[in-house]
Amino acid sequence: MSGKLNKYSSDIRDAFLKASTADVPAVTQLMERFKSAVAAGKEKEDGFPSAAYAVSKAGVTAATKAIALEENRRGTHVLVNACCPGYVKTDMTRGGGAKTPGQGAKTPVLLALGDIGGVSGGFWQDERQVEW
Amino acid sequence: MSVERRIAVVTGANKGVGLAIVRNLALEYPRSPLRSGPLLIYLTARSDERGRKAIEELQNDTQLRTAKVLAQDGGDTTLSYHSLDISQSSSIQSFAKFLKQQHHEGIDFVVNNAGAHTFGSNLLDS
Repeated sequence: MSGKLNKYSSDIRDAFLKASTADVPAVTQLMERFKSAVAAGKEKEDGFPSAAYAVSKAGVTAATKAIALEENRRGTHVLVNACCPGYVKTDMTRGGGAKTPGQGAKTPVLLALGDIGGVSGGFWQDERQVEW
Repeated sequence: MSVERRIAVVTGANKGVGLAIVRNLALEYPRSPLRSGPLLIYLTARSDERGRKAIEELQNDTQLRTAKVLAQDGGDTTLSYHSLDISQSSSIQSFAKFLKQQHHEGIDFVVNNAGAHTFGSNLLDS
């Protein structure tokens, strides 16, 4: 599954966690840091995996958490969650994948329609919350 | 009991996981806790042709027709297309403006399914 924080140095992992409880600009800053590191050929040294897709997904999750916190602070009762649909066979994967689109849709549909106990800022996979 | 229409958006929904999400929303909505009246789902795509074709595909989908979940078959769900290119801020603003104008009371949920990638340059235009 893409986007989890286990591929990063503890420094960068902390930076993601910090940004996710700060705001969206803080997450953007971290993405820019990755881009600069890649431009200098030093992303691995800096603590990132050499993978734009994975880093962008971690960024989406961080941004989702930051937005969820913001909505919570504003008292809007809007629930904001992120999920990984899994490895789904579509045009995007050029035919690779372990799940059908219908199976991939299960977690997003749960988050949209289901009773998720008021969870916001969560990261979900296979219809349950998982550790980021 | 008051009837409240639900409004939903699924981006990047002309194919792949996005299309499957729309399909499954229509199938699951009738027995979901969110059900309070009809459901309107906006399916977005970058191409009007592909977007409208996707809606047509769903409207002719055997499983959806048999389950009678679409309004055309007496069910809860209506499908509507709107263009959206998430790599263009003008497109995002335009769609947000449209939604605010059409639905002053707000909308119920958005599934940000659309993804974009590019090689070597900045993705967002501004």
